[in-house]
Amino acid sequence: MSDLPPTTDGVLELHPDSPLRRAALEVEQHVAEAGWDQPPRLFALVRTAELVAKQPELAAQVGDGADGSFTPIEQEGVPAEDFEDALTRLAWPDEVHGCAAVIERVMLPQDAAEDLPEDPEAAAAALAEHPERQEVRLVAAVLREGGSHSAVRRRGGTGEPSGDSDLLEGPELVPGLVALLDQTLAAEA
Amino acid sequence: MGRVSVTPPPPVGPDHDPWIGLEPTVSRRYVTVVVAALSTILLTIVAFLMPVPYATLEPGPVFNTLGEFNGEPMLTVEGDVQTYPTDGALDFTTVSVTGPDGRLSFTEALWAWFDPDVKLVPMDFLYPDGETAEESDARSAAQLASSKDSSTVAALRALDYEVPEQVSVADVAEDGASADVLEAGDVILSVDGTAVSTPQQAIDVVSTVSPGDPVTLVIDREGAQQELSITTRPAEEDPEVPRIGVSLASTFDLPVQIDNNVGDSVGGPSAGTMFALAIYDLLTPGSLTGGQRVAGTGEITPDGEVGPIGGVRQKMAGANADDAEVFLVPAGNCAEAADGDDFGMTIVKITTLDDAISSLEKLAADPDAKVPTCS
Repeated sequence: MSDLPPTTDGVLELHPDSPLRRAALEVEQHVAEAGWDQPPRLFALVRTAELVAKQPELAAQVGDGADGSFTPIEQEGVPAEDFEDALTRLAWPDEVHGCAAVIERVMLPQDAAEDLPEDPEAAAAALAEHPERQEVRLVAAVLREGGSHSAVRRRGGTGEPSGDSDLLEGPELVPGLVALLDQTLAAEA
Repeated sequence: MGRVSVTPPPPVGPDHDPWIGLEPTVSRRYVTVVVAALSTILLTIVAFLMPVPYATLEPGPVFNTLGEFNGEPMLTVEGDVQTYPTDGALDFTTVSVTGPDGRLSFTEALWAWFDPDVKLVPMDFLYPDGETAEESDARSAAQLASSKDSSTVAALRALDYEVPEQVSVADVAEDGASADVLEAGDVILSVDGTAVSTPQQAIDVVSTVSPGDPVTLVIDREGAQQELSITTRPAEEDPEVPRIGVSLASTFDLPVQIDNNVGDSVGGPSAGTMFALAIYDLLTPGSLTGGQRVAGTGEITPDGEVGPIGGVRQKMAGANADDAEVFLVPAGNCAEAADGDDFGMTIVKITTLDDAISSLEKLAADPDAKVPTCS
Protein backbone atom coordinates (compact mmCIF):
# COMPACT_ATOMS: atom_id res chain seq x y z
CA MET A 1 0.00 0.00 0.00
CA SER A 2 1.32 3.34 -0.82
CA ASP A 3 0.50 6.59 -2.40
CA LEU A 4 0.85 7.75 -5.91
CA PRO A 5 1.46 10.91 -7.76
CA PRO A 6 -1.80 12.63 -8.62
CA THR A 7 -3.14 11.57 -11.97
CA THR A 8 -5.09 14.72 -12.59
CA ASP A 9 -4.70 16.09 -16.07
CA GLY A 10 -1.83 18.49 -16.25
CA VAL A 11 -0.19 17.23 -13.09
CA LEU A 12 1.60 14.34 -14.71
CA GLU A 13 1.45 13.49 -18.39
CA LEU A 14 1.24 9.73 -18.83
CA HIS A 15 2.19 9.71 -22.49
CA PRO A 16 4.33 12.64 -23.55
CA ASP A 17 3.57 13.43 -27.15
CA SER A 18 6.18 12.60 -29.78
CA PRO A 19 6.26 12.09 -33.55
CA LEU A 20 6.72 8.34 -32.99
CA ARG A 21 3.70 8.17 -30.73
CA ARG A 22 1.62 10.05 -33.26
CA ALA A 23 2.76 7.68 -36.01
CA ALA A 24 1.90 4.63 -33.90
CA LEU A 25 -1.55 6.00 -33.13
CA GLU A 26 -2.09 6.97 -36.76
CA VAL A 27 -1.27 3.43 -37.84
CA GLU A 28 -3.56 2.03 -35.16
CA GLN A 29 -6.39 4.33 -36.16
CA HIS A 30 -5.91 3.55 -39.82
CA VAL A 31 -5.95 -0.21 -39.29
CA ALA A 32 -8.87 0.04 -36.85
CA GLU A 33 -11.00 1.68 -39.51
CA ALA A 34 -10.87 -1.54 -41.52
CA GLY A 35 -12.28 -3.53 -38.63
CA TRP A 36 -11.25 -6.84 -37.15
CA ASP A 37 -10.11 -10.18 -38.56
CA GLN A 38 -7.29 -8.68 -40.55
CA PRO A 39 -3.95 -10.22 -41.44
CA PRO A 40 -0.79 -8.75 -39.93
CA ARG A 41 0.16 -5.39 -41.38
CA LEU A 42 3.54 -3.81 -41.69
CA PHE A 43 4.49 -0.19 -42.22
CA ALA A 44 7.71 1.59 -42.97
CA LEU A 45 8.08 4.89 -41.13
CA VAL A 46 9.85 7.61 -43.08
CA ARG A 47 10.47 11.17 -42.10
CA THR A 48 7.75 13.14 -43.80
CA ALA A 49 10.15 15.98 -44.59
CA GLU A 50 12.47 13.61 -46.50
CA LEU A 51 9.58 11.93 -48.26
CA VAL A 52 8.20 15.25 -49.43
CA ALA A 53 11.63 16.46 -50.54
CA LYS A 54 11.77 13.41 -52.83
CA GLN A 55 8.14 13.38 -53.87
CA PRO A 56 6.80 16.94 -53.51
CA GLU A 57 3.42 15.94 -54.93
CA LEU A 58 2.74 14.04 -51.68
CA ALA A 59 2.88 17.23 -49.59
CA ALA A 60 -0.85 17.79 -49.97
CA GLN A 61 -1.52 14.40 -48.40
CA VAL A 62 1.15 14.08 -45.77
CA GLY A 63 2.06 17.69 -44.89
CA ASP A 64 5.52 19.19 -44.98
CA GLY A 65 6.88 17.27 -42.01
CA ALA A 66 8.15 20.43 -40.32
CA ASP A 67 6.85 19.03 -37.02
CA GLY A 68 9.27 16.09 -37.29
CA SER A 69 6.44 13.73 -38.20
CA PHE A 70 6.78 10.30 -39.77
CA THR A 71 4.66 9.03 -42.62
CA PRO A 72 3.66 5.38 -42.34
CA ILE A 73 3.97 3.54 -45.64
CA GLU A 74 2.19 0.24 -45.84
CA GLN A 75 4.16 -2.74 -47.09
CA GLU A 76 2.39 -5.11 -49.42
CA GLY A 77 2.80 -8.83 -49.60
CA VAL A 78 3.18 -9.30 -45.89
CA PRO A 79 2.83 -13.00 -45.12
CA ALA A 80 -0.29 -13.65 -43.08
CA GLU A 81 1.15 -16.79 -41.61
CA ASP A 82 4.38 -16.96 -39.68
CA PHE A 83 4.50 -13.18 -39.58
CA GLU A 84 6.92 -13.03 -36.65
CA ASP A 85 9.19 -15.48 -38.39
CA ALA A 86 9.07 -13.36 -41.53
CA LEU A 87 10.10 -10.34 -39.48
CA THR A 88 13.30 -12.10 -38.48
CA ARG A 89 14.28 -12.24 -42.17
CA LEU A 90 13.45 -8.64 -42.89
CA ALA A 91 15.70 -5.63 -43.25
CA TRP A 92 15.06 -2.08 -44.36
CA PRO A 93 16.92 0.29 -46.64
CA ASP A 94 18.57 3.31 -45.02
CA GLU A 95 15.82 5.64 -46.19
CA VAL A 96 13.44 3.97 -43.76
CA HIS A 97 13.74 5.52 -40.30
CA GLY A 98 11.47 3.19 -38.44
CA CYS A 99 8.70 0.68 -38.80
CA ALA A 100 5.42 -0.36 -37.30
CA ALA A 101 3.56 -3.63 -37.21
CA VAL A 102 -0.01 -4.52 -36.38
CA ILE A 103 -1.08 -8.02 -35.43
CA GLU A 104 -4.27 -9.45 -34.00
CA ARG A 105 -4.05 -12.00 -31.26
CA VAL A 106 -6.38 -14.01 -29.12
CA MET A 107 -5.24 -13.88 -25.54
CA LEU A 108 -5.99 -15.88 -22.44
CA PRO A 109 -5.23 -15.08 -18.83
CA GLN A 110 -1.77 -16.33 -17.98
CA ASP A 111 -2.77 -19.41 -15.98
CA ALA A 112 -5.36 -20.42 -18.60
CA ALA A 113 -2.81 -20.04 -21.39
CA GLU A 114 -0.42 -22.31 -19.53
CA ASP A 115 -3.13 -25.00 -19.42
CA LEU A 116 -3.60 -25.14 -23.20
CA PRO A 117 -2.73 -28.41 -24.92
CA GLU A 118 0.70 -28.63 -26.52
CA ASP A 119 -0.61 -29.67 -29.91
CA PRO A 120 -1.11 -26.49 -31.96
CA GLU A 121 -4.39 -27.54 -33.51
CA ALA A 122 -5.82 -28.74 -30.23
CA ALA A 123 -4.60 -25.53 -28.60
CA ALA A 124 -6.24 -23.43 -31.29
CA ALA A 125 -9.51 -25.30 -30.90
CA ALA A 126 -9.44 -24.93 -27.11
CA LEU A 127 -8.62 -21.25 -27.47
CA ALA A 128 -11.47 -20.62 -29.88
CA GLU A 129 -13.93 -22.03 -27.35
CA HIS A 130 -12.37 -20.55 -24.24
CA PRO A 131 -14.79 -18.39 -22.21
CA GLU A 132 -12.01 -16.05 -21.07
CA ARG A 133 -10.56 -15.40 -24.51
CA GLN A 134 -9.96 -11.79 -25.44
CA GLU A 135 -9.10 -10.53 -28.87
CA VAL A 136 -6.62 -7.72 -29.12
CA ARG A 137 -4.85 -5.80 -31.82
CA LEU A 138 -1.22 -5.11 -30.99
CA VAL A 139 0.56 -2.16 -32.52
CA ALA A 140 4.26 -1.48 -32.11
CA ALA A 141 6.29 1.28 -33.70
CA VAL A 142 10.05 1.62 -33.37
CA LEU A 143 12.69 3.97 -34.64
CA ARG A 144 16.13 3.16 -36.00
CA GLU A 145 17.53 5.81 -33.67
CA GLY A 146 15.88 4.07 -30.72
CA GLY A 147 12.58 4.44 -28.96
CA SER A 148 9.31 2.61 -29.24
CA HIS A 149 5.65 3.18 -28.74
CA SER A 150 2.97 0.57 -28.56
CA ALA A 151 -0.77 0.32 -28.36
CA VAL A 152 -3.26 -2.42 -27.69
CA ARG A 153 -6.87 -2.30 -28.82
CA ARG A 154 -9.40 -4.60 -27.28
CA ARG A 155 -12.11 -6.14 -29.39
CA GLY A 156 -15.69 -5.90 -28.21
CA GLY A 157 -15.43 -2.71 -26.19
CA THR A 158 -17.48 0.27 -27.22
CA GLY A 159 -16.77 -0.54 -30.87
CA GLU A 160 -15.77 3.03 -31.55
CA PRO A 161 -12.43 3.17 -33.36
CA SER A 162 -11.59 6.25 -31.34
CA GLY A 163 -13.04 4.93 -28.10
CA ASP A 164 -10.01 5.49 -25.94
CA SER A 165 -11.22 3.24 -23.17
CA ASP A 166 -10.58 0.34 -25.56
CA LEU A 167 -7.09 1.52 -26.37
CA LEU A 168 -4.08 1.03 -24.14
CA GLU A 169 -0.85 2.74 -25.12
CA GLY A 170 2.62 3.26 -23.80
CA PRO A 171 6.28 2.49 -24.33
CA GLU A 172 7.44 -1.12 -24.23
CA LEU A 173 3.96 -2.60 -23.84
CA VAL A 174 4.63 -5.33 -26.39
CA PRO A 175 8.32 -6.04 -25.84
CA GLY A 176 8.35 -9.17 -28.01
CA LEU A 177 7.07 -7.37 -31.06
CA VAL A 178 9.24 -4.32 -30.37
CA ALA A 179 12.32 -6.55 -30.18
CA LEU A 180 11.46 -8.15 -33.52
CA LEU A 181 10.98 -4.77 -35.16
CA ASP A 182 14.21 -3.44 -33.67
CA GLN A 183 16.01 -6.38 -35.26
CA THR A 184 14.69 -5.52 -38.70
CA LEU A 185 16.18 -2.05 -38.38
CA ALA A 186 19.51 -3.29 -37.05
CA ALA A 187 19.92 -5.71 -39.96
CA GLU A 188 21.88 -4.64 -43.01
CA ALA A 189 19.66 -4.13 -46.00
CA MET B 1 19.91 -18.84 -36.18
CA GLY B 2 20.91 -18.38 -39.79
CA ARG B 3 19.14 -15.14 -40.45
CA VAL B 4 19.12 -13.81 -43.95
CA SER B 5 18.75 -10.09 -44.33
CA VAL B 6 16.66 -8.94 -47.20
CA THR B 7 15.08 -5.68 -48.17
CA PRO B 8 11.38 -5.37 -47.24
CA PRO B 9 9.37 -8.43 -48.21
CA PRO B 10 7.44 -6.56 -50.86
CA PRO B 11 9.62 -5.86 -53.87
CA VAL B 12 11.20 -2.44 -53.60
CA GLY B 13 12.01 -1.89 -57.24
CA PRO B 14 15.03 -2.66 -59.37
CA ASP B 15 17.00 0.41 -58.43
CA HIS B 16 16.43 -0.24 -54.74
CA ASP B 17 14.50 2.96 -54.40
CA PRO B 18 12.45 2.58 -51.26
CA TRP B 19 9.76 4.92 -52.49
CA ILE B 20 8.78 2.75 -55.39
CA GLY B 21 5.95 0.49 -54.50
CA LEU B 22 5.40 2.26 -51.21
CA GLU B 23 2.41 4.44 -50.77
CA PRO B 24 1.50 6.67 -47.88
CA THR B 25 -1.26 5.08 -45.88
CA VAL B 26 -3.44 8.12 -46.20
CA SER B 27 -4.18 7.37 -49.82
CA ARG B 28 -4.75 3.67 -49.58
CA ARG B 29 -7.94 1.68 -49.60
CA TYR B 30 -7.87 -1.60 -47.79
CA VAL B 31 -9.57 -4.86 -48.26
CA THR B 32 -10.35 -6.75 -45.13
CA VAL B 33 -9.09 -10.25 -45.41
CA VAL B 34 -10.54 -12.94 -43.25
CA VAL B 35 -7.59 -14.84 -42.03
CA ALA B 36 -7.42 -18.54 -41.56
CA ALA B 37 -8.38 -18.96 -37.93
CA LEU B 38 -5.33 -20.98 -37.05
CA SER B 39 -2.74 -18.43 -38.02
CA THR B 40 -4.38 -15.62 -36.08
CA ILE B 41 -4.89 -17.39 -32.85
CA LEU B 42 -1.68 -19.26 -32.37
CA LEU B 43 -0.09 -17.71 -29.36
CA THR B 44 3.50 -16.73 -29.29
CA ILE B 45 3.58 -17.58 -25.63
CA VAL B 46 7.20 -16.69 -25.05
CA ALA B 47 6.77 -13.13 -26.27
CA PHE B 48 3.77 -12.62 -24.04
CA LEU B 49 5.57 -13.82 -20.95
CA MET B 50 8.27 -11.20 -21.32
CA PRO B 51 8.01 -8.71 -18.48
CA VAL B 52 6.68 -5.27 -19.34
CA PRO B 53 7.72 -2.16 -17.37
CA TYR B 54 4.26 -1.54 -16.04
CA ALA B 55 2.69 -1.56 -12.62
CA THR B 56 -0.85 -2.07 -11.40
CA LEU B 57 -2.84 -0.05 -8.92
CA GLU B 58 -5.48 -2.16 -7.25
CA PRO B 59 -8.03 -1.42 -4.56
CA GLY B 60 -6.33 -1.73 -1.18
CA PRO B 61 -7.74 -2.13 2.32
CA VAL B 62 -9.46 0.69 4.18
CA PHE B 63 -8.71 1.74 7.74
CA ASN B 64 -11.19 3.42 10.06
CA THR B 65 -9.53 6.49 11.57
CA LEU B 66 -12.11 6.32 14.40
CA GLY B 67 -11.18 2.69 15.06
CA GLU B 68 -8.04 0.73 15.72
CA PHE B 69 -4.80 0.19 13.86
CA ASN B 70 -2.70 -2.85 14.82
CA GLY B 71 -4.94 -3.43 17.84
CA GLU B 72 -4.56 0.07 19.31
CA PRO B 73 -6.77 3.12 18.87
CA MET B 74 -5.51 4.79 15.68
CA LEU B 75 -5.82 8.30 17.09
CA THR B 76 -5.45 9.21 20.74
CA VAL B 77 -5.88 12.72 22.11
CA GLU B 78 -3.22 13.18 24.77
CA GLY B 79 -3.40 15.21 27.95
CA ASP B 80 -6.34 16.68 29.79
CA VAL B 81 -8.54 17.53 26.83
CA GLN B 82 -12.26 16.82 26.57
CA THR B 83 -13.05 14.22 23.89
CA TYR B 84 -16.41 12.91 22.73
CA PRO B 85 -17.73 9.54 21.60
CA THR B 86 -17.87 8.94 17.85
CA ASP B 87 -20.09 6.80 15.67
CA GLY B 88 -19.95 5.30 12.21
CA ALA B 89 -16.61 5.29 10.41
CA LEU B 90 -14.18 7.69 8.74
CA ASP B 91 -12.19 5.32 6.56
CA PHE B 92 -8.99 6.29 4.87
CA THR B 93 -8.53 4.32 1.69
CA THR B 94 -5.47 2.81 0.06
CA VAL B 95 -4.28 1.33 -3.19
CA SER B 96 -2.09 -1.73 -3.53
CA VAL B 97 0.65 -1.10 -6.05
CA THR B 98 3.24 -3.23 -7.78
CA GLY B 99 6.58 -2.59 -6.09
CA PRO B 100 9.55 -1.26 -8.08
CA ASP B 101 10.94 -4.79 -8.28
CA GLY B 102 7.67 -6.28 -9.52
CA ARG B 103 7.51 -7.83 -12.97
CA LEU B 104 4.23 -8.06 -14.86
CA SER B 105 4.00 -10.14 -18.00
CA PHE B 106 2.21 -8.67 -20.98
CA THR B 107 -0.70 -11.01 -20.32
CA GLU B 108 -0.96 -9.94 -16.70
CA ALA B 109 -0.79 -6.32 -17.76
CA LEU B 110 -3.53 -6.89 -20.30
CA TRP B 111 -5.89 -8.47 -17.81
CA ALA B 112 -5.20 -5.70 -15.34
CA TRP B 113 -6.23 -3.26 -18.05
CA PHE B 114 -9.46 -5.19 -18.70
CA ASP B 115 -10.39 -4.91 -15.01
CA PRO B 116 -12.24 -1.63 -14.44
CA ASP B 117 -11.09 -1.50 -10.80
CA VAL B 118 -7.41 -1.86 -11.67
CA LYS B 119 -5.25 0.80 -13.27
CA LEU B 120 -2.22 -0.02 -15.35
CA VAL B 121 0.56 2.59 -15.46
CA PRO B 122 4.16 2.68 -16.67
CA MET B 123 6.54 1.70 -13.88
CA ASP B 124 8.45 4.98 -14.02
CA PHE B 125 5.19 6.83 -13.39
CA LEU B 126 5.22 5.36 -9.88
CA TYR B 127 8.97 5.12 -9.40
CA PRO B 128 10.58 8.00 -11.27
CA ASP B 129 14.29 7.80 -12.09
CA GLY B 130 14.52 4.15 -11.20
CA GLU B 131 13.61 4.70 -7.57
CA THR B 132 14.37 1.59 -5.51
CA ALA B 133 12.01 -0.12 -3.10
CA GLU B 134 13.98 1.30 -0.18
CA GLU B 135 13.87 4.86 -1.51
CA SER B 136 10.22 4.54 -2.33
CA ASP B 137 9.41 3.27 1.18
CA ALA B 138 11.41 6.11 2.76
CA ARG B 139 9.62 8.72 0.65
CA SER B 140 6.28 7.15 1.44
CA ALA B 141 7.00 7.03 5.20
CA ALA B 142 8.13 10.67 5.22
CA GLN B 143 4.93 11.69 3.45
CA LEU B 144 2.84 9.79 5.99
CA ALA B 145 4.66 11.44 8.89
CA SER B 146 4.14 14.84 7.38
CA SER B 147 0.44 14.12 6.79
CA LYS B 148 0.02 13.29 10.48
CA ASP B 149 1.43 16.67 11.51
CA SER B 150 -0.50 18.60 8.88
CA SER B 151 -3.77 16.89 9.73
CA THR B 152 -3.37 17.67 13.44
CA VAL B 153 -2.67 21.34 12.74
CA ALA B 154 -5.52 21.57 10.23
CA ALA B 155 -8.02 19.98 12.66
CA LEU B 156 -6.94 22.17 15.57
CA ARG B 157 -7.18 25.29 13.43
CA ALA B 158 -10.66 24.24 12.26
CA LEU B 159 -11.53 24.09 15.96
CA ASP B 160 -10.24 27.66 16.36
CA TYR B 161 -7.16 26.70 18.36
CA GLU B 162 -4.23 29.05 17.95
CA VAL B 163 -1.41 26.93 16.49
CA PRO B 164 1.77 29.01 16.38
CA GLU B 165 4.00 28.23 13.41
CA GLN B 166 7.69 28.85 12.89
CA VAL B 167 9.95 28.24 9.97
CA SER B 168 13.03 26.15 10.56
CA VAL B 169 15.93 24.81 8.54
CA ALA B 170 15.33 21.18 7.60
CA ASP B 171 18.52 20.60 5.67
CA VAL B 172 21.56 22.58 4.54
CA ALA B 173 23.01 21.86 1.10
CA GLU B 174 26.68 20.90 1.27
CA ASP B 175 28.65 23.46 -0.74
CA GLY B 176 25.53 25.68 -0.82
CA ALA B 177 25.31 29.34 0.17
CA SER B 178 24.51 28.46 3.79
CA ALA B 179 27.03 25.66 4.32
CA ASP B 180 28.87 26.21 7.63
CA VAL B 181 26.52 29.12 8.41
CA LEU B 182 23.10 27.62 9.04
CA GLU B 183 22.39 24.31 10.73
CA ALA B 184 19.45 21.95 10.52
CA GLY B 185 17.07 22.88 13.34
CA ASP B 186 17.79 26.62 13.27
CA VAL B 187 14.56 28.58 13.57
CA ILE B 188 14.41 31.53 11.17
CA LEU B 189 12.79 34.50 12.89
CA SER B 190 13.28 37.17 10.26
CA VAL B 191 14.79 37.78 6.83
CA ASP B 192 16.14 41.28 6.08
CA GLY B 193 14.13 42.67 8.97
CA THR B 194 10.82 41.05 7.95
CA ALA B 195 9.45 38.62 10.50
CA VAL B 196 8.66 35.23 8.94
CA SER B 197 6.64 32.32 10.31
CA THR B 198 6.16 30.09 7.25
CA PRO B 199 8.59 28.70 4.67
CA GLN B 200 6.76 30.60 1.94
CA GLN B 201 7.20 33.93 3.73
CA ALA B 202 10.95 33.30 4.05
CA ILE B 203 11.22 32.30 0.39
CA ASP B 204 9.26 35.39 -0.66
CA VAL B 205 11.65 37.76 1.11
CA VAL B 206 14.76 36.00 -0.17
CA SER B 207 13.32 36.16 -3.69
CA THR B 208 13.34 39.97 -3.64
CA VAL B 209 17.15 40.25 -3.69
CA SER B 210 19.39 39.78 -6.71
CA PRO B 211 21.41 36.55 -6.82
CA GLY B 212 24.81 37.34 -5.33
CA ASP B 213 23.45 39.90 -2.88
CA PRO B 214 23.46 39.14 0.83
CA VAL B 215 20.42 38.58 3.06
CA THR B 216 20.41 39.02 6.82
CA LEU B 217 18.75 36.32 8.88
CA VAL B 218 17.87 36.41 12.54
CA ILE B 219 17.76 32.87 13.82
CA ASP B 220 17.16 31.03 17.05
CA ARG B 221 19.70 28.28 17.62
CA GLU B 222 19.13 26.27 20.78
CA GLY B 223 17.47 29.20 22.51
CA ALA B 224 20.03 31.84 21.54
CA GLN B 225 19.31 34.48 18.89
CA GLN B 226 21.95 35.23 16.27
CA GLU B 227 22.14 37.54 13.29
CA LEU B 228 23.77 36.00 10.23
CA SER B 229 24.55 37.26 6.75
CA ILE B 230 24.28 34.86 3.83
CA THR B 231 25.33 35.65 0.27
CA THR B 232 22.66 34.35 -2.08
CA ARG B 233 23.58 32.34 -5.17
CA PRO B 234 21.79 31.95 -8.47
CA ALA B 235 19.58 28.87 -8.67
CA GLU B 236 20.91 26.15 -10.97
CA GLU B 237 17.71 25.92 -12.97
CA ASP B 238 17.22 29.70 -13.22
CA PRO B 239 20.10 32.16 -12.71
CA GLU B 240 17.62 34.97 -12.03
CA VAL B 241 16.41 33.25 -8.88
CA PRO B 242 18.40 33.73 -5.64
CA ARG B 243 18.98 30.73 -3.36
CA ILE B 244 20.41 30.32 0.12
CA GLY B 245 20.87 26.55 -0.21
CA VAL B 246 18.60 25.24 2.51
CA SER B 247 15.33 23.34 2.64
CA LEU B 248 12.79 24.73 5.05
CA ALA B 249 10.16 23.14 7.23
CA SER B 250 7.29 24.39 9.36
CA THR B 251 7.46 23.78 13.07
CA PHE B 252 4.21 23.95 14.98
CA ASP B 253 3.64 24.49 18.66
CA LEU B 254 0.67 22.17 19.19
CA PRO B 255 -1.79 23.13 21.96
CA VAL B 256 -3.14 19.56 21.85
CA GLN B 257 -1.04 16.49 21.15
CA ILE B 258 -2.47 13.69 19.01
CA ASP B 259 -0.89 10.26 18.97
CA ASN B 260 -1.36 8.72 15.51
CA ASN B 261 -0.10 5.14 15.35
CA VAL B 262 -0.52 4.43 11.63
CA GLY B 263 2.67 3.17 10.09
CA ASP B 264 4.67 0.33 8.62
CA SER B 265 2.40 -1.16 6.00
CA VAL B 266 0.85 2.16 5.03
CA GLY B 267 2.57 5.18 3.53
CA GLY B 268 2.03 8.34 1.56
CA PRO B 269 0.23 11.62 2.20
CA SER B 270 -3.31 10.82 1.13
CA ALA B 271 -4.77 9.84 4.52
CA GLY B 272 -4.26 13.42 5.79
CA THR B 273 -7.80 14.66 5.23
CA MET B 274 -9.37 11.64 6.92
CA PHE B 275 -7.00 11.98 9.92
CA ALA B 276 -8.02 15.61 10.26
CA LEU B 277 -11.74 14.79 10.12
CA ALA B 278 -11.31 12.11 12.79
CA ILE B 279 -9.39 14.47 15.10
CA TYR B 280 -12.11 17.08 14.60
CA ASP B 281 -14.80 14.47 15.34
CA LEU B 282 -13.03 13.32 18.53
CA LEU B 283 -12.79 16.89 19.82
CA THR B 284 -16.38 17.97 19.04
CA PRO B 285 -19.66 16.83 20.62
CA GLY B 286 -21.91 14.66 18.47
CA SER B 287 -21.02 12.37 15.60
CA LEU B 288 -19.64 13.92 12.43
CA THR B 289 -20.72 10.87 10.44
CA GLY B 290 -24.24 10.60 11.87
CA GLY B 291 -23.46 6.88 12.17
CA GLN B 292 -22.76 6.46 8.46
CA ARG B 293 -19.76 4.71 7.00
CA VAL B 294 -17.78 7.54 5.39
CA ALA B 295 -14.65 6.88 3.36
CA GLY B 296 -12.37 9.25 1.54
CA THR B 297 -8.97 10.40 0.54
CA GLY B 298 -6.95 13.58 0.10
CA GLU B 299 -3.77 15.28 1.12
CA ILE B 300 -4.13 18.13 3.57
CA THR B 301 -2.09 21.23 4.32
CA PRO B 302 -1.80 22.71 7.81
CA ASP B 303 -4.19 25.40 6.58
CA GLY B 304 -6.81 22.81 5.74
CA GLU B 305 -6.52 22.87 1.95
CA VAL B 306 -7.31 19.46 0.46
CA GLY B 307 -4.96 18.34 -2.33
CA PRO B 308 -5.41 15.75 -5.10
CA ILE B 309 -4.06 12.22 -4.81
CA GLY B 310 -3.53 9.20 -7.05
CA GLY B 311 -5.57 6.07 -7.53
CA VAL B 312 -8.95 7.57 -6.70
CA ARG B 313 -10.90 4.94 -8.69
CA GLN B 314 -9.11 2.12 -6.88
CA LYS B 315 -9.78 3.81 -3.54
CA MET B 316 -13.48 4.10 -4.40
CA ALA B 317 -13.61 0.39 -5.21
CA GLY B 318 -11.87 -0.37 -1.91
CA ALA B 319 -14.32 1.84 -0.01
CA ASN B 320 -17.22 0.09 -1.69
CA ALA B 321 -15.84 -3.31 -0.72
CA ASP B 322 -16.10 -2.06 2.86
CA ASP B 323 -19.69 -0.83 2.35
CA ALA B 324 -19.04 2.90 2.56
CA GLU B 325 -22.06 5.12 1.94
CA VAL B 326 -20.22 8.40 1.42
CA PHE B 327 -16.89 8.95 -0.34
CA LEU B 328 -14.93 12.20 -0.05
CA VAL B 329 -12.96 13.18 -3.15
CA PRO B 330 -10.50 16.09 -3.53
CA ALA B 331 -11.90 18.53 -6.10
CA GLY B 332 -8.82 17.92 -8.27
CA ASN B 333 -9.73 14.24 -8.59
CA CYS B 334 -13.43 14.77 -9.25
CA ALA B 335 -13.33 14.18 -13.01
CA GLU B 336 -11.54 10.87 -12.57
CA ALA B 337 -13.87 9.87 -9.72
CA ALA B 338 -16.95 10.57 -11.83
CA ASP B 339 -15.60 8.53 -14.75
CA GLY B 340 -17.13 5.17 -13.87
CA ASP B 341 -19.32 3.41 -11.35
CA ASP B 342 -20.13 5.37 -8.18
CA PHE B 343 -20.89 2.05 -6.41
CA GLY B 344 -24.04 3.66 -4.98
CA MET B 345 -21.95 5.98 -2.79
CA THR B 346 -22.50 9.72 -2.47
CA ILE B 347 -19.34 11.14 -4.06
CA VAL B 348 -18.69 14.38 -2.18
CA LYS B 349 -16.35 16.98 -3.64
CA ILE B 350 -14.09 18.62 -1.05
CA THR B 351 -11.64 21.50 -1.38
CA THR B 352 -10.99 22.34 2.27
CA LEU B 353 -11.34 20.66 5.62
CA ASP B 354 -14.05 23.18 6.51
CA ASP B 355 -16.24 22.27 3.57
CA ALA B 356 -15.69 18.55 4.18
CA ILE B 357 -16.91 19.09 7.75
CA SER B 358 -19.85 21.14 6.55
CA SER B 359 -20.89 18.51 3.97
CA LEU B 360 -20.60 15.69 6.52
CA GLU B 361 -22.68 17.62 9.05
CA LYS B 362 -25.43 18.06 6.45
CA LEU B 363 -25.30 14.40 5.46
CA ALA B 364 -25.34 13.34 9.12
CA ALA B 365 -28.57 15.28 9.60
CA ASP B 366 -30.08 14.09 6.32
CA PRO B 367 -28.42 11.45 4.10
CA ASP B 368 -30.17 13.00 1.10
CA ALA B 369 -29.01 16.53 1.85
CA LYS B 370 -27.67 18.58 -1.03
CA VAL B 371 -23.86 18.79 -0.85
CA PRO B 372 -21.22 19.48 -3.52
CA THR B 373 -20.65 16.29 -5.50
CA CYS B 374 -18.49 15.18 -8.38
CA SER B 375 -21.39 14.27 -10.65
